[in-house]
Amino acid sequence: MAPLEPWEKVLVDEDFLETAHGEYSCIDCHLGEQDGDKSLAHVAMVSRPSEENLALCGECHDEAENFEDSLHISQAGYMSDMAARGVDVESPEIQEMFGNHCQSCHTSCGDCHVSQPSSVGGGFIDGHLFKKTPSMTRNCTACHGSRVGKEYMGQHEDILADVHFRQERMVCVDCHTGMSMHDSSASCETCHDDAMLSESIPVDHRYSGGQDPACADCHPQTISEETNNMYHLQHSENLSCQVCHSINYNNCDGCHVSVSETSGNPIFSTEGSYLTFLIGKNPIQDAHRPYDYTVVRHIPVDPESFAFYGENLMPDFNAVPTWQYATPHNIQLETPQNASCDGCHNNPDFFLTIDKIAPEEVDANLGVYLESLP
Amino acid sequence: MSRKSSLKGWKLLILCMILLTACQTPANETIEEVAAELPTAIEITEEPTQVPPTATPLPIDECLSCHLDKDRLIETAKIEEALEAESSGEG
Repeated sequence: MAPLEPWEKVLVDEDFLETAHGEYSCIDCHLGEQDGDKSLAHVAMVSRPSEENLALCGECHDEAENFEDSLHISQAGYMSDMAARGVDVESPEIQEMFGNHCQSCHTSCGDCHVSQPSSVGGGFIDGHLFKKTPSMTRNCTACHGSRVGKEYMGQHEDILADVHFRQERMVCVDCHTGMSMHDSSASCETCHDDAMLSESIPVDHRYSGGQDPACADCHPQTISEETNNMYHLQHSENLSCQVCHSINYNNCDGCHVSVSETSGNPIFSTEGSYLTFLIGKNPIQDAHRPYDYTVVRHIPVDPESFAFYGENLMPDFNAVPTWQYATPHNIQLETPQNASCDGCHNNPDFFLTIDKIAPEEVDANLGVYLESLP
Repeated sequence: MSRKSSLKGWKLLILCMILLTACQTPANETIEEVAAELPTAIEITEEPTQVPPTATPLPIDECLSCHLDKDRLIETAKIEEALEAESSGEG
Protein backbone atom coordinates (compact mmCIF):
# COMPACT_ATOMS: atom_id res chain seq x y z
CA MET A 1 0.00 0.00 0.00
CA ALA A 2 1.56 3.29 -1.13
CA PRO A 3 1.97 5.75 1.75
CA LEU A 4 0.03 9.00 1.61
CA GLU A 5 1.79 12.33 1.24
CA PRO A 6 1.85 14.35 4.49
CA TRP A 7 -0.64 16.92 3.14
CA GLU A 8 -2.84 14.19 1.68
CA LYS A 9 -3.25 12.64 5.10
CA VAL A 10 -5.01 15.70 6.46
CA LEU A 11 -6.75 17.29 3.46
CA VAL A 12 -10.47 17.59 4.21
CA ASP A 13 -12.91 17.11 1.33
CA GLU A 14 -15.52 19.86 0.99
CA ASP A 15 -18.20 17.16 0.79
CA PHE A 16 -17.47 16.40 4.43
CA LEU A 17 -19.06 19.69 5.39
CA GLU A 18 -22.37 18.48 3.96
CA THR A 19 -22.43 15.40 6.21
CA ALA A 20 -23.82 15.05 9.73
CA HIS A 21 -20.33 14.98 11.21
CA GLY A 22 -19.41 18.05 9.19
CA GLU A 23 -21.96 20.09 11.12
CA TYR A 24 -19.71 20.01 14.15
CA SER A 25 -16.83 22.39 14.55
CA CYS A 26 -13.41 20.78 14.23
CA ILE A 27 -12.48 21.66 17.79
CA ASP A 28 -15.62 19.96 19.13
CA CYS A 29 -13.82 16.68 18.59
CA HIS A 30 -10.17 17.58 18.05
CA LEU A 31 -9.84 20.33 20.65
CA GLY A 32 -6.97 22.71 19.87
CA GLU A 33 -7.56 26.39 19.07
CA GLN A 34 -9.18 28.38 16.26
CA ASP A 35 -6.07 30.15 15.06
CA GLY A 36 -4.57 30.84 11.66
CA ASP A 37 -1.14 29.98 13.01
CA LYS A 38 -0.69 26.23 12.81
CA SER A 39 1.65 26.07 15.77
CA LEU A 40 -0.93 27.77 17.98
CA ALA A 41 -3.95 26.00 16.51
CA HIS A 42 -2.45 22.60 17.21
CA VAL A 43 -1.63 23.20 20.86
CA ALA A 44 -3.49 20.53 22.86
CA MET A 45 -5.05 19.24 19.66
CA VAL A 46 -6.12 15.59 19.64
CA SER A 47 -5.47 14.07 16.24
CA ARG A 48 -7.34 10.82 16.98
CA PRO A 49 -10.33 11.78 19.14
CA SER A 50 -11.82 8.31 19.46
CA GLU A 51 -8.47 7.03 20.70
CA GLU A 52 -8.46 9.54 23.53
CA ASN A 53 -12.15 9.52 24.29
CA LEU A 54 -14.14 6.49 23.23
CA ALA A 55 -17.30 7.96 24.75
CA LEU A 56 -17.24 10.71 22.12
CA CYS A 57 -18.56 8.39 19.41
CA GLY A 58 -20.80 6.65 21.91
CA GLU A 59 -22.76 9.84 22.47
CA CYS A 60 -24.60 9.15 19.22
CA HIS A 61 -23.63 5.63 18.22
CA ASP A 62 -25.02 2.78 20.30
CA GLU A 63 -22.60 0.41 18.56
CA ALA A 64 -19.77 1.96 20.53
CA GLU A 65 -21.43 1.08 23.83
CA ASN A 66 -19.64 -2.23 24.26
CA PHE A 67 -16.62 -1.36 22.18
CA GLU A 68 -14.39 -1.49 25.23
CA ASP A 69 -14.98 -5.24 25.15
CA SER A 70 -13.78 -5.46 21.58
CA LEU A 71 -10.42 -7.17 21.24
CA HIS A 72 -9.48 -4.43 18.80
CA ILE A 73 -9.44 -1.92 21.60
CA SER A 74 -8.84 -4.03 24.69
CA GLN A 75 -5.98 -5.99 23.12
CA ALA A 76 -6.86 -8.61 25.71
CA GLY A 77 -5.56 -11.36 23.44
CA TYR A 78 -1.98 -10.13 23.86
CA MET A 79 -2.32 -9.94 27.62
CA SER A 80 -3.97 -13.32 28.08
CA ASP A 81 -1.39 -15.09 25.92
CA MET A 82 1.53 -13.44 27.72
CA ALA A 83 0.03 -14.12 31.14
CA ALA A 84 -0.46 -17.79 30.22
CA ARG A 85 3.30 -18.00 29.63
CA GLY A 86 4.01 -16.58 33.09
CA VAL A 87 4.67 -13.03 31.90
CA ASP A 88 3.99 -10.44 34.58
CA VAL A 89 1.97 -8.10 32.40
CA GLU A 90 1.90 -5.41 35.08
CA SER A 91 5.69 -5.23 35.44
CA PRO A 92 7.37 -2.00 34.29
CA GLU A 93 9.48 -3.90 31.77
CA ILE A 94 6.47 -5.47 30.08
CA GLN A 95 4.46 -2.27 30.26
CA GLU A 96 7.28 -0.47 28.47
CA MET A 97 7.58 -3.26 25.92
CA PHE A 98 3.82 -3.28 25.36
CA GLY A 99 3.70 0.48 24.89
CA ASN A 100 6.57 0.42 22.40
CA HIS A 101 5.43 -2.49 20.26
CA CYS A 102 1.97 -3.93 20.90
CA GLN A 103 0.20 -0.63 21.42
CA SER A 104 0.59 0.29 17.76
CA CYS A 105 -2.07 -2.32 16.96
CA HIS A 106 -4.55 -0.62 19.27
CA THR A 107 -7.62 0.31 17.22
CA SER A 108 -10.36 2.80 17.94
CA CYS A 109 -13.37 3.99 15.90
CA GLY A 110 -11.49 6.39 13.65
CA ASP A 111 -8.91 3.79 12.64
CA CYS A 112 -11.62 1.90 10.76
CA HIS A 113 -14.14 4.59 9.84
CA VAL A 114 -12.08 7.71 9.05
CA SER A 115 -8.38 7.02 8.66
CA GLN A 116 -5.89 4.36 7.83
CA PRO A 117 -4.45 2.78 10.97
CA SER A 118 -1.46 4.57 12.45
CA SER A 119 0.56 1.37 12.09
CA VAL A 120 0.62 2.04 8.33
CA GLY A 121 1.20 5.77 8.60
CA GLY A 122 -2.35 6.99 9.12
CA GLY A 123 -4.09 9.56 6.94
CA PHE A 124 -7.68 10.05 5.82
CA ILE A 125 -9.28 7.30 3.77
CA ASP A 126 -11.42 9.82 1.91
CA GLY A 127 -11.00 13.43 2.93
CA HIS A 128 -12.29 12.90 6.50
CA LEU A 129 -15.59 11.51 5.24
CA PHE A 130 -16.80 8.91 7.73
CA LYS A 131 -17.10 5.47 6.18
CA LYS A 132 -19.77 3.15 7.54
CA THR A 133 -17.96 0.19 6.01
CA PRO A 134 -14.18 0.10 6.41
CA SER A 135 -11.99 -0.44 3.38
CA MET A 136 -10.74 -4.02 3.16
CA THR A 137 -7.27 -3.12 1.96
CA ARG A 138 -6.77 0.28 3.61
CA ASN A 139 -8.17 -0.69 6.98
CA CYS A 140 -8.52 -4.44 7.59
CA THR A 141 -5.54 -5.88 5.77
CA ALA A 142 -3.48 -2.77 6.41
CA CYS A 143 -3.00 -4.37 9.84
CA HIS A 144 -3.88 -8.01 9.14
CA GLY A 145 -1.63 -8.19 6.13
CA SER A 146 1.18 -10.66 6.37
CA ARG A 147 -1.08 -13.58 7.15
CA VAL A 148 -4.75 -12.86 6.48
CA GLY A 149 -4.37 -10.32 3.69
CA LYS A 150 -1.78 -12.17 1.64
CA GLU A 151 -3.53 -15.50 2.03
CA TYR A 152 -7.00 -14.18 1.28
CA MET A 153 -6.01 -12.22 -1.82
CA GLY A 154 -3.59 -14.82 -3.14
CA GLN A 155 -0.45 -12.73 -2.83
CA HIS A 156 1.80 -15.68 -2.13
CA GLU A 157 3.36 -16.99 -5.29
CA ASP A 158 1.63 -20.01 -6.77
CA ILE A 159 -0.99 -20.12 -4.02
CA LEU A 160 -4.58 -19.48 -4.96
CA ALA A 161 -6.58 -16.73 -3.35
CA ASP A 162 -9.39 -17.74 -1.03
CA VAL A 163 -12.39 -18.99 -2.97
CA HIS A 164 -14.60 -16.42 -1.24
CA PHE A 165 -12.46 -13.67 -2.73
CA ARG A 166 -11.55 -15.33 -6.01
CA GLN A 167 -15.07 -16.27 -7.02
CA GLU A 168 -17.37 -14.07 -4.99
CA ARG A 169 -15.22 -10.99 -4.33
CA MET A 170 -16.32 -11.09 -0.72
CA VAL A 171 -14.69 -8.58 1.60
CA CYS A 172 -13.88 -8.94 5.29
CA VAL A 173 -17.10 -7.43 6.57
CA ASP A 174 -19.18 -9.95 4.65
CA CYS A 175 -18.23 -12.47 7.36
CA HIS A 176 -16.87 -10.30 10.16
CA THR A 177 -19.91 -8.20 10.93
CA GLY A 178 -19.93 -4.81 12.54
CA MET A 179 -21.61 -6.33 15.57
CA SER A 180 -18.78 -8.75 16.21
CA MET A 181 -16.15 -6.11 15.47
CA HIS A 182 -17.69 -3.66 17.93
CA ASP A 183 -18.30 -6.22 20.66
CA SER A 184 -16.23 -9.38 20.73
CA SER A 185 -18.69 -11.08 23.08
CA ALA A 186 -21.79 -10.15 21.03
CA SER A 187 -22.29 -13.68 19.73
CA CYS A 188 -22.49 -15.13 23.27
CA GLU A 189 -26.03 -13.80 23.59
CA THR A 190 -27.09 -15.92 20.65
CA CYS A 191 -27.05 -19.04 22.83
CA HIS A 192 -26.53 -18.00 26.44
CA ASP A 193 -29.10 -16.36 28.69
CA ASP A 194 -28.32 -13.39 30.91
CA ALA A 195 -27.77 -15.52 34.00
CA MET A 196 -25.15 -17.59 32.27
CA LEU A 197 -23.56 -14.56 30.67
CA SER A 198 -23.10 -12.90 34.03
CA GLU A 199 -20.96 -15.84 35.11
CA SER A 200 -19.17 -16.28 31.84
CA ILE A 201 -15.48 -15.77 31.34
CA PRO A 202 -14.77 -12.52 29.50
CA VAL A 203 -13.67 -12.82 25.90
CA ASP A 204 -9.92 -12.43 26.13
CA HIS A 205 -8.75 -14.12 22.97
CA ARG A 206 -9.92 -14.24 19.39
CA TYR A 207 -10.81 -17.91 19.78
CA SER A 208 -12.69 -17.39 23.05
CA GLY A 209 -16.39 -18.18 22.95
CA GLY A 210 -18.40 -19.23 19.93
CA GLN A 211 -17.14 -19.28 16.39
CA ASP A 212 -17.99 -15.90 14.99
CA PRO A 213 -18.13 -16.17 12.09
CA ALA A 214 -18.65 -19.90 11.61
CA CYS A 215 -18.49 -21.53 8.18
CA ALA A 216 -21.83 -23.20 8.87
CA ASP A 217 -23.49 -19.77 9.18
CA CYS A 218 -23.50 -19.69 5.39
CA HIS A 219 -22.99 -23.39 4.68
CA PRO A 220 -25.46 -25.12 7.05
CA GLN A 221 -25.72 -28.14 4.76
CA THR A 222 -22.15 -29.10 5.60
CA ILE A 223 -23.06 -30.04 9.15
CA SER A 224 -26.52 -31.38 8.39
CA GLU A 225 -27.13 -35.06 9.04
CA GLU A 226 -28.93 -35.11 5.72
CA THR A 227 -25.88 -34.15 3.72
CA ASN A 228 -24.88 -36.55 1.00
CA ASN A 229 -21.23 -35.60 1.28
CA MET A 230 -19.52 -38.60 2.85
CA TYR A 231 -16.55 -36.52 4.00
CA HIS A 232 -18.81 -34.15 5.89
CA LEU A 233 -20.77 -37.03 7.38
CA GLN A 234 -17.59 -38.67 8.55
CA HIS A 235 -15.52 -35.67 9.67
CA SER A 236 -17.56 -32.55 10.36
CA GLU A 237 -17.56 -33.20 14.09
CA ASN A 238 -13.93 -34.08 14.61
CA LEU A 239 -12.14 -31.91 12.03
CA SER A 240 -12.24 -28.16 11.72
CA CYS A 241 -13.35 -27.03 8.26
CA GLN A 242 -9.86 -25.77 7.44
CA VAL A 243 -8.35 -29.25 7.81
CA CYS A 244 -9.96 -30.23 4.53
CA HIS A 245 -10.36 -26.85 2.85
CA SER A 246 -7.23 -24.85 3.60
CA ILE A 247 -3.90 -24.88 1.76
CA ASN A 248 -0.40 -23.59 2.55
CA TYR A 249 -0.35 -20.58 4.86
CA ASN A 250 2.24 -18.34 6.43
CA ASN A 251 4.17 -19.20 9.62
CA CYS A 252 6.81 -17.19 11.45
CA ASP A 253 9.67 -17.97 13.84
CA GLY A 254 11.63 -16.15 16.50
CA CYS A 255 10.32 -12.63 16.89
CA HIS A 256 12.45 -10.33 19.04
CA VAL A 257 11.52 -6.79 19.92
CA SER A 258 13.91 -4.00 20.87
CA VAL A 259 14.65 -0.30 20.48
CA SER A 260 16.97 0.85 17.71
CA GLU A 261 20.32 2.18 18.94
CA THR A 262 20.52 4.57 16.00
CA SER A 263 17.02 6.03 15.76
CA GLY A 264 15.53 5.16 19.13
CA ASN A 265 12.49 3.69 17.39
CA PRO A 266 10.88 0.41 18.47
CA ILE A 267 11.85 -2.33 16.06
CA PHE A 268 11.38 -6.07 15.64
CA SER A 269 13.09 -8.89 13.85
CA THR A 270 11.74 -12.28 12.92
CA GLU A 271 14.06 -15.16 12.19
CA GLY A 272 12.06 -16.55 9.34
CA SER A 273 8.71 -16.98 7.69
CA TYR A 274 7.62 -19.89 5.55
CA LEU A 275 4.57 -21.46 3.99
CA THR A 276 3.31 -24.78 5.20
CA PHE A 277 0.13 -26.68 5.91
CA LEU A 278 0.04 -28.91 8.97
CA ILE A 279 -2.68 -30.68 10.91
CA GLY A 280 -2.25 -31.09 14.65
CA LYS A 281 -4.32 -31.99 17.67
CA ASN A 282 -6.67 -29.21 18.62
CA PRO A 283 -4.81 -27.18 21.28
CA ILE A 284 -7.95 -25.36 22.45
CA GLN A 285 -10.57 -28.11 22.26
CA ASP A 286 -13.78 -27.02 23.99
CA ALA A 287 -17.54 -26.97 23.44
CA HIS A 288 -17.25 -24.23 20.84
CA ARG A 289 -14.41 -25.90 18.92
CA PRO A 290 -14.85 -29.57 19.71
CA TYR A 291 -12.66 -30.83 16.89
CA ASP A 292 -10.00 -33.42 17.59
CA TYR A 293 -7.83 -32.07 14.79
CA THR A 294 -7.29 -28.65 13.34
CA VAL A 295 -4.70 -26.87 11.23
CA VAL A 296 -1.93 -25.34 13.31
CA ARG A 297 0.23 -22.31 12.61
CA HIS A 298 3.63 -21.60 14.12
CA ILE A 299 3.58 -18.28 15.88
CA PRO A 300 6.79 -16.26 16.23
CA VAL A 301 7.02 -16.28 20.04
CA ASP A 302 10.43 -17.16 21.45
CA PRO A 303 11.62 -17.56 25.05
CA GLU A 304 13.84 -14.51 24.43
CA SER A 305 11.28 -12.40 22.56
CA PHE A 306 11.34 -9.71 25.26
CA ALA A 307 14.98 -10.15 26.37
CA PHE A 308 15.83 -6.57 25.37
CA TYR A 309 13.63 -5.36 28.23
CA GLY A 310 14.85 -7.70 30.96
CA GLU A 311 15.86 -11.17 31.96
CA ASN A 312 13.54 -14.13 32.26
CA LEU A 313 10.43 -12.13 31.40
CA MET A 314 8.71 -15.23 30.01
CA PRO A 315 9.33 -17.81 32.74
CA ASP A 316 6.70 -20.34 31.68
CA PHE A 317 7.28 -20.47 27.94
CA ASN A 318 6.24 -24.12 27.63
CA ALA A 319 2.77 -23.53 29.11
CA VAL A 320 1.33 -22.57 25.73
CA PRO A 321 2.00 -24.28 22.38
CA THR A 322 3.98 -22.50 19.70
CA TRP A 323 1.90 -24.33 17.10
CA GLN A 324 -1.51 -22.83 17.58
CA TYR A 325 -5.09 -23.28 16.42
CA ALA A 326 -5.43 -21.48 13.12
CA THR A 327 -8.10 -20.44 10.67
CA PRO A 328 -6.16 -19.60 7.49
CA HIS A 329 -8.00 -17.37 5.06
CA ASN A 330 -7.22 -19.36 1.94
CA ILE A 331 -10.21 -21.68 1.70
CA GLN A 332 -10.60 -23.87 -1.39
CA LEU A 333 -13.30 -26.31 -2.35
CA GLU A 334 -10.77 -28.84 -3.59
CA THR A 335 -7.42 -29.36 -1.90
CA PRO A 336 -4.67 -31.99 -2.06
CA GLN A 337 -5.76 -33.49 1.27
CA ASN A 338 -9.45 -33.80 0.37
CA ALA A 339 -8.85 -35.29 -3.07
CA SER A 340 -9.23 -38.79 -1.65
CA CYS A 341 -9.05 -40.70 1.64
CA ASP A 342 -5.46 -41.71 0.90
CA GLY A 343 -4.61 -38.15 0.03
CA CYS A 344 -4.72 -37.36 3.71
CA HIS A 345 -4.68 -40.50 5.84
CA ASN A 346 -1.18 -41.68 6.65
CA ASN A 347 0.32 -38.85 4.59
CA PRO A 348 3.24 -37.53 6.68
CA ASP A 349 3.37 -34.29 4.68
CA PHE A 350 0.18 -33.02 6.25
CA PHE A 351 0.63 -33.78 9.94
CA LEU A 352 2.58 -32.07 12.68
CA THR A 353 4.90 -34.72 14.08
CA ILE A 354 7.79 -34.34 16.51
CA ASP A 355 10.37 -34.24 13.75
CA LYS A 356 8.86 -30.98 12.48
CA ILE A 357 9.20 -29.25 15.83
CA ALA A 358 12.30 -27.39 17.03
CA PRO A 359 13.83 -29.41 19.91
CA GLU A 360 13.53 -26.50 22.35
CA GLU A 361 9.80 -26.24 21.58
CA VAL A 362 8.82 -29.90 21.92
CA ASP A 363 7.65 -29.56 25.51
CA ALA A 364 5.43 -26.61 24.62
CA ASN A 365 3.69 -28.66 21.96
CA LEU A 366 3.18 -31.97 23.77
CA GLY A 367 -0.58 -31.73 23.32
CA VAL A 368 -0.44 -30.68 19.69
CA TYR A 369 1.84 -32.94 17.70
CA LEU A 370 0.79 -36.42 16.61
CA GLU A 371 2.68 -39.48 17.75
CA SER A 372 1.24 -41.58 14.96
CA LEU A 373 -0.47 -40.72 11.72
CA PRO A 374 -4.25 -41.19 11.55
CA MET B 1 -70.58 51.26 -40.54
CA SER B 2 -73.39 53.03 -38.55
CA ARG B 3 -73.35 56.76 -37.95
CA LYS B 4 -73.19 56.27 -34.17
CA SER B 5 -70.02 54.13 -34.25
CA SER B 6 -68.34 56.50 -36.73
CA LEU B 7 -68.84 59.35 -34.25
CA LYS B 8 -67.32 57.23 -31.42
CA GLY B 9 -64.21 56.60 -33.57
CA TRP B 10 -63.69 60.34 -34.16
CA LYS B 11 -63.97 61.06 -30.43
CA LEU B 12 -61.25 58.47 -29.63
CA LEU B 13 -58.91 59.88 -32.27
CA ILE B 14 -59.27 63.43 -30.90
CA LEU B 15 -58.62 62.20 -27.31
CA CYS B 16 -55.41 60.45 -28.38
CA MET B 17 -54.11 63.56 -30.14
CA ILE B 18 -54.73 65.69 -27.03
CA LEU B 19 -52.82 63.25 -24.82
CA LEU B 20 -49.86 63.03 -27.20
CA THR B 21 -49.45 66.76 -27.64
CA ALA B 22 -49.74 67.35 -23.86
CA CYS B 23 -46.50 65.36 -23.25
CA GLN B 24 -44.47 67.15 -25.95
CA THR B 25 -41.83 69.79 -25.20
CA PRO B 26 -43.02 73.13 -26.47
CA ALA B 27 -41.39 73.78 -29.78
CA ASN B 28 -39.81 77.06 -28.63
CA GLU B 29 -38.13 75.51 -25.47
CA THR B 30 -34.44 74.57 -25.70
CA ILE B 31 -32.97 71.36 -24.22
CA GLU B 32 -30.97 73.46 -21.75
CA GLU B 33 -34.11 75.14 -20.49
CA VAL B 34 -35.78 71.80 -19.98
CA ALA B 35 -32.71 70.43 -18.18
CA ALA B 36 -32.69 73.43 -15.85
CA GLU B 37 -36.19 72.60 -14.74
CA LEU B 38 -35.21 69.05 -13.82
CA PRO B 39 -34.61 68.41 -10.09
CA THR B 40 -30.97 68.58 -9.04
CA ALA B 41 -29.24 66.00 -6.76
CA ILE B 42 -30.85 66.04 -3.39
CA GLU B 43 -28.55 66.97 -0.57
CA ILE B 44 -28.76 64.51 2.31
CA THR B 45 -29.06 66.39 5.51
CA GLU B 46 -29.98 63.57 7.88
CA GLU B 47 -27.94 60.60 9.11
CA PRO B 48 -28.66 57.49 7.03
CA THR B 49 -30.93 55.00 8.68
CA GLN B 50 -29.01 51.88 9.72
CA VAL B 51 -30.51 48.78 8.11
CA PRO B 52 -29.94 45.72 10.35
CA PRO B 53 -28.09 42.91 8.59
CA THR B 54 -30.25 39.98 7.65
CA ALA B 55 -27.76 37.38 9.02
CA THR B 56 -24.70 37.41 11.29
CA PRO B 57 -21.65 36.74 9.16
CA LEU B 58 -20.15 33.34 9.98
CA PRO B 59 -16.81 33.44 11.76
CA ILE B 60 -13.91 32.17 9.70
CA ASP B 61 -13.13 28.59 10.63
CA GLU B 62 -9.38 28.67 10.80
CA CYS B 63 -9.11 24.89 10.91
CA LEU B 64 -11.08 24.43 7.72
CA SER B 65 -9.55 27.36 5.91
CA CYS B 66 -6.26 25.48 6.10
CA HIS B 67 -7.41 21.87 5.90
CA LEU B 68 -9.53 22.50 2.81
CA ASP B 69 -6.62 24.20 1.05
CA LYS B 70 -4.32 21.70 -0.59
CA ASP B 71 -1.64 24.28 -1.46
CA ARG B 72 -1.54 25.64 2.05
CA LEU B 73 -1.24 22.15 3.48
CA ILE B 74 1.61 21.35 1.10
CA GLU B 75 3.29 24.53 2.31
CA THR B 76 2.84 23.86 6.01
CA ALA B 77 2.76 20.08 6.37
CA LYS B 78 5.59 18.73 8.40
CA ILE B 79 7.94 16.79 6.19
CA GLU B 80 8.14 13.24 7.38
CA GLU B 81 11.61 11.83 7.42
CA ALA B 82 11.91 8.68 5.40
CA LEU B 83 12.70 6.16 8.07
CA GLU B 84 15.13 3.48 7.22
CA ALA B 85 13.46 0.12 7.65
CA GLU B 86 15.17 -1.07 10.78
CA SER B 87 12.86 -3.97 11.49
CA SER B 88 13.52 -7.18 9.66
CA GLY B 89 11.32 -10.08 8.69
CA GLU B 90 7.56 -10.24 8.50
CA GLY B 91 5.57 -8.49 11.17
